[in-house]
Amino acid sequence: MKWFKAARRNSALLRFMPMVLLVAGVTAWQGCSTAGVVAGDSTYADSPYILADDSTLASQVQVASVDHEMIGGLMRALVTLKSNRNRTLWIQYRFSWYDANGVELDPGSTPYRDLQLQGRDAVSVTSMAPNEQAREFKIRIRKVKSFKLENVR
Amino acid sequence: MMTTYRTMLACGMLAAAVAVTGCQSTRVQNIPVDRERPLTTDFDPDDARRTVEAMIDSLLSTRIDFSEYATQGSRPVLDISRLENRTMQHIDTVSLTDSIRTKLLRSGQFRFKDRSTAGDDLSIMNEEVEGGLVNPDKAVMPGQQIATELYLYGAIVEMRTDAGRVRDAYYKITLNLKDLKSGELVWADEKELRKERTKPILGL
Repeated sequence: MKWFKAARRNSALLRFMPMVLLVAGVTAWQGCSTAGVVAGDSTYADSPYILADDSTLASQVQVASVDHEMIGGLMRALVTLKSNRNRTLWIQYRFSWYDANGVELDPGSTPYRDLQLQGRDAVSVTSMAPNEQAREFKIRIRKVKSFKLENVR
Repeated sequence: MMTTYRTMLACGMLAAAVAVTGCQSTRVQNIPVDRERPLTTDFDPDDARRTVEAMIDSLLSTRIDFSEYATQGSRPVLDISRLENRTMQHIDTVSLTDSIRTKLLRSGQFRFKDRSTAGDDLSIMNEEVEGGLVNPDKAVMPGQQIATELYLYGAIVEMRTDAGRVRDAYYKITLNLKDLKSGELVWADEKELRKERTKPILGL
């Protein structure tokens, strides 16, 4: 600690250290983005599944139910999302579709869609399979901070 | 005195570092197709993709038996017209309708008639039938193309409101599916988008 005290006495740079750490922390926090919660179902598996790799988001958004139905030979995904927060939550979700061999159909073709979850509210989201080969789906949920555009001209 | 000098030195070094960083060349990089946050209040590619996805989902999830409209096979023949752009900005509505057509075609629920090269089709047929270069038995005669049974059309509208530092942009995209024979509107849906921009108090 002697060297630290000495440095503190002698160097004015240390005065900027908290600010530098603060800026680095804010930058790192803003850069964080994760898939969050993944849920899925298929026409051949036993039951739907729910995976969460972001415990914070998983505690805020609950996948209440995962199901599917067939319409005109096409699989339709039905997922109910429930907010565990009291405040409004902005999230984005994306469905991806797989054939019977587990190969993703048209990867990246389905965009993330916006969803506003009111406090403690439950919302059902659906998606139609891109074609009749689709036998399994996954829904990926990610959190976004805000959809308002600020400081943009 | 010494402390003040060191503080000034540190500030100078910091300013120099910022200046050097600012002199870097323009950076170009590949990014994911869909952005997490929009850049402007304009109707952007993400909006287009999400709109197309939502509309296709809506059309395919209706429990209408489209095969009832098919008279030339098991699937009805669909045609799509360019979306009417009633916004204040340039939107490539041809690209939008192309995306809709591609997704519907790949769903396997519809057949599509391509009218974009109708003029060329006719001139090629006439040339081959009348030109004498092609075996007349093999030449494709005009009047054999499939007929449109269902017709998809729509519009995109914009309502923009400016209030002080805030700009509110509202978009509504409507699609209609019409039975060409009876004139009946078989399906219709609309999707709304709303974006808000807040300018900073200071600055341009």
